This record gives sequence, structure tokens and C-alpha cells, in this order.
Amino acid sequence: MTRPPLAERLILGFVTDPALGEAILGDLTEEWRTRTIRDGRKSADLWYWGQAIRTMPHLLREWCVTATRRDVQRRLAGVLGVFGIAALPATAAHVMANIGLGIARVMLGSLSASDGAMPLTFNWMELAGIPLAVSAACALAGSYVLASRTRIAPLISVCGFGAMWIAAAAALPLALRWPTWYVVALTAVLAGATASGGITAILRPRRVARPSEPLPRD
Amino acid sequence: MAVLLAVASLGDQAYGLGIRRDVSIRRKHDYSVGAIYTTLGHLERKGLVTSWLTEPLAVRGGRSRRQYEVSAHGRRVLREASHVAAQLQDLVARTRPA
Repeated sequence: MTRPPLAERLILGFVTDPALGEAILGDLTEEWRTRTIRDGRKSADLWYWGQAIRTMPHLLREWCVTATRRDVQRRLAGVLGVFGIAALPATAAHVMANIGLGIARVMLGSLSASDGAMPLTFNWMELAGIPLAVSAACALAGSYVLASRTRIAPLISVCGFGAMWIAAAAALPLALRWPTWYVVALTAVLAGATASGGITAILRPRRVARPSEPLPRD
Repeated sequence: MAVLLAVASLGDQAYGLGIRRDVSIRRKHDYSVGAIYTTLGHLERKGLVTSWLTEPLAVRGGRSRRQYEVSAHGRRVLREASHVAAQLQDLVARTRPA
């Protein structure tokens, strides 16, 4: 008989004190065993998951209360360091592509105006897709890297990345008239990056070693 | 206060799960394990309870129990609370309309 491993990892992902993690998981295992015998496996698993989810905010709050200044500084440094990995290439790609698009737009516009020909059609969907894809890839990669260093980092990185994206987009000439879906896609990229960060936080290596003594079989 | 009371009344059963059961019955609310440990952490930081880890147990998948005990300061706080509760009860009884 084994406890829900994913729920267990979820708790360990939020535990900062290994001894506290040991105590919490021990309690959950003990009660889970009792409930498995009394109510059945499915019900016990459901209870375990419920407890894991309800325990997380308390553990997060506990960290906020007990974190020392050094803890905060170390985490902040990690966040900022990997934030650079995530955000800067994405922003650079974004700005470069936008500058390129702006120049192309101006050149095409002046050509069309000077020879009196029909305005050239411009496939904004395809062109805007390039920086979007690069930005999305960087955000996803960044959140993975970040999640392996610190648990709270993915969300901060993604939020920061979003802010930089908006700032870069706001700095563009208004004449570019970005398609609406581009802004909508930003939300999707942020959600995807956050989710990937969360998944990595769950799957990351455990902080507390699994006890060598296995649970006795019924 | 309910958690402190539970630790005081449970004796050698004063560990996370036992305390959670006791507090849940007393307060008629299903508390999460995390909520109990957070409160116990606060109490420990205030010096009201002390804790130690037991030997690993098979029933807990080879994990230890964190056992709690009310400290001398905690017992003093409980006595004061009991005194205040008695005074309050007395006051309510005296002010009850005839």
C-alpha cells in the first residue's frame, strides 16, 4: 500500500523545515492507513489529497513568518538571477522583432505611397507569431530552470516576464497596430509558463529523503 | 487556546494527529494537519509548548512523531485563562436577569 505519491511531493515542495515535513507526512500516512482500512482506498486517497491541498497555504504562511532576512535575500537573488535567463532573451527577441517589423512597415508604406500602387498586404499574424513563439519558449524554459532553484520563483518570473512584455509592447510605435489576439496570447503564455513552473515544482527532487523502512502490507 | 488545551489533556498522545482529532471534536470543525502544525509552531515560538521527535514508526511509513508537551510557561498561561474564564462565568451568572 502506498500513499498518493504526487500529493506527498506537493507537500514536500512547500515544506522548508525537513523535520516539519517528516511530522506532517507521518501524520497523514497514519491517518490514511486507518481510513484505507475503514473507508476504502479511494476515500482515503481523496482525504489525503484534500489534506495536502489544505495544508499548502499554511506551510507557505509558515515560511513567510519564519523566513530570515538571509533566506529572503537568497531566494530573491535566485529569482532575479534566473529571471534574467527567462525574461531577457525573450524581451530582446521581442524588441528586435518589433523594431524589424516597424522598419519593414515604414519601408513598405513609403514604397506603396511613392509608386501609387495598391498597398502591399502584410501578414501580421505570421510575423507577430515569431516573437510570440520565441517569448513563449523562453518563458517556459525560464520557469523550468527557475523552479529547480526555488519553489516560489516560477510565478514571480512569469509575472516579471509579463510586465516586461507589456512594457516592450507599450514602447512600440502606435502605427504598428498589433492584432488583438497577440495580447490575448500573452495571457495564454503566462498561464502556460505558470503551469509549467508549478508542475516542475511538484516533480522537482525531494528535500526530505524517503524513509528506508517501507509501509507494511495489509 | 484550544490547541494548548489539547496538548495539556492528551499527555503522551499529544502529537499532530491526536491534537488535530481533539481540536476538531472540541471546535466541531475539521482542521487540516497544516493548520494544526502552524498553530503548534506559534505556540512553540512563544514558549508555551515544547516538542521532540520520537523513534521512526512503521505505522507512519517509517517516519517519526513530533510529540508535544505544555511547558511551565504554558501551564501558567492555562491557569490564568482558567481563572479569567471562572471570573467571566461568575460575572455572567450575577448579571443574569431574574
